[in-house]
Amino acid sequence: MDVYNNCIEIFVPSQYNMQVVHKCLYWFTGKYDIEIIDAVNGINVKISPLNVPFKEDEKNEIRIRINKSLIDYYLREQIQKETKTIRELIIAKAFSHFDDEIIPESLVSDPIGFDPHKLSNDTK
Amino acid sequence: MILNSDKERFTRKFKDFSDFDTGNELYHLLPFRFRRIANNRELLVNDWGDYLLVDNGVVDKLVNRRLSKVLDAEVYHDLLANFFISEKPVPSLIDLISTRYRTKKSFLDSFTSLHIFVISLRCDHSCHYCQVSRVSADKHLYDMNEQHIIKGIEMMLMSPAQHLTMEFQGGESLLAFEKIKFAVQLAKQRAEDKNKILTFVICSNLVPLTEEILEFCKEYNILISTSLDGPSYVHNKNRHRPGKNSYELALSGIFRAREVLGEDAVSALLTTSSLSLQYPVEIVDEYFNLGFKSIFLRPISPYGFAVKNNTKNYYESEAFVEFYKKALNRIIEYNLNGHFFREDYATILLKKMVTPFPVGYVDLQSPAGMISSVIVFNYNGEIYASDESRMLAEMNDYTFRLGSLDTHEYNDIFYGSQSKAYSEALLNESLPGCSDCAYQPYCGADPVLHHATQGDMIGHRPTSVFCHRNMALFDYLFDLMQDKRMERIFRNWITGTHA
Ligand code: SF4
Repeated sequence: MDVYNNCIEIFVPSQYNMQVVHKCLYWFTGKYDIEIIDAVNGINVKISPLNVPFKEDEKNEIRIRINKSLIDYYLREQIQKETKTIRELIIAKAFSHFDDEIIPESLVSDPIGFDPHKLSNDTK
Repeated sequence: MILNSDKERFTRKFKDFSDFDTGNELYHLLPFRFRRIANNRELLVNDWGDYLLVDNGVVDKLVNRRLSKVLDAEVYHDLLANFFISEKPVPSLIDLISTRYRTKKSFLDSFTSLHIFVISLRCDHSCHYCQVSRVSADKHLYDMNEQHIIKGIEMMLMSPAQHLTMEFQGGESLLAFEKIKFAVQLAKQRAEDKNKILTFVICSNLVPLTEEILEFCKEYNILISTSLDGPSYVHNKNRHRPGKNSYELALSGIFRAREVLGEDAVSALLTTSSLSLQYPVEIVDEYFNLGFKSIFLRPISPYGFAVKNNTKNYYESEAFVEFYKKALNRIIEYNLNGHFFREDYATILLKKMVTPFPVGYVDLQSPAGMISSVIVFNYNGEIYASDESRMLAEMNDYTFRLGSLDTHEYNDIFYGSQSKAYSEALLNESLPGCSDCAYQPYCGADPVLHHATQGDMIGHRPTSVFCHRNMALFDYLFDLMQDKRMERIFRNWITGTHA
């Protein structure tokens, strides 16, 4: 097997951090050997199939798949970063043992026509 | 009734879009994951399991704040109504969202409910996929003794769960019918003292079934679960016994049991083997023609001789997915022709996808169902984390042995260091691959299977048979659900009704 022909290199620009790159490439590790190397302004990734020759059309396909997947993992990272606090709050509330009755502060009026705030005060 | 003088609040008319326009286009994301699926669609699933199918590109617009409340009004309001975005940093209905999250995890409330008693390892069959049974007449060596039965029952009744299931497995459990009798009578009496509700299940190949056994089952409302692998040319090849008549005996047992106990008290389970993969349609037809209202297309168990052969397992998993799709299509065909006939694995997945409730299926839970949903008392008094764990033990792998009824108390087993040692592999929320997967809220972790097939409880998702199978089936079901006729059929399966 020609080792040089059996490998492709992809340059990942620095806008993608290492975590995004790892998460993306993780899904390729079932079929490919992956080497991640730090480079100026980004990361170099060497990819070669495990124990079989690299077909030419497969090389192109892998490039496209990795590039698409990087974008998706970048979006996932944004979502995770932005929602970390609210996720923790939701989970903490879900499993807290407090039984405080909190009246929702909402612009949405009660659909059957009475004010929940007033009802709860008047019935106390 | 207390009425509000504010006229605004009395109206039941829908308000105009402009009423909800806050004047800016800012919104806040709520926790969700996404996946690209067939037909150029994006699937969004939030942490509490609600899903939304949108066109390709919506997630990108959403995250990069290019989604307009006016220009993309329909999708914007779908996202808002389904809790993928909020117009306030903390959504007004956060308590509702938290309740939804808690409900999805409410299978944890009751703790361990399924208690499997491996009442005997003896069996008259020698099925090629079974690693546990012994073709031996030595009762003393391979039947559970009465001391272990008594201790097992006491431990079972310490569970905080109000509803408990006591399941007798083998080998062939009915070869030790006297032991089952003893266990059922004692457990019933002790459960009544403790105000617990007990369901009994006997798993059997039905060969030893007698009138006496059936009468006993009737008296104690015992459910029968048997094995049926399809038509005789599949079943008898999978399930060897002297006389080569396992199929004929299973069928006769099913009919006799239905007559005495009623149709609903008798169910059959399919074990898929390499041979079965060639007969998806024939297997489905067999179940349908025998009057079953459902079939459970269980995947090939990797707990066989080739358990650590990951490549072979992966190949078989691909073949299983193909088999499953063909079989499911056949089942759907029956439904399109007006019959109610459902597939149980799809029904479990669908319940997770479209209802707010959890499903008590131990293989698809996070935290995984071992110990917290199921526990196994083996014939020799040893205690295991799941049924598959004791199968591994028969192959000399004792990783999931928790202790023994002779030496361990309830707290040692359920809260001891051994059970804590598995904890980091139990939650798919934090597993590599799963933590970003759109199917995470519907899927599970299965550390026993990953340990068995990959030598690592956490597992490697890109080569995991568990991941491969579930991802393929979720994809297929979401694909099918885009057809309104399928959606109607699936809703009937979930509710168990025939509309
Ligand atoms: S096992 Fe696979 S399908 Fe299931 S949540 Fe994990 S990555 Fe997704």
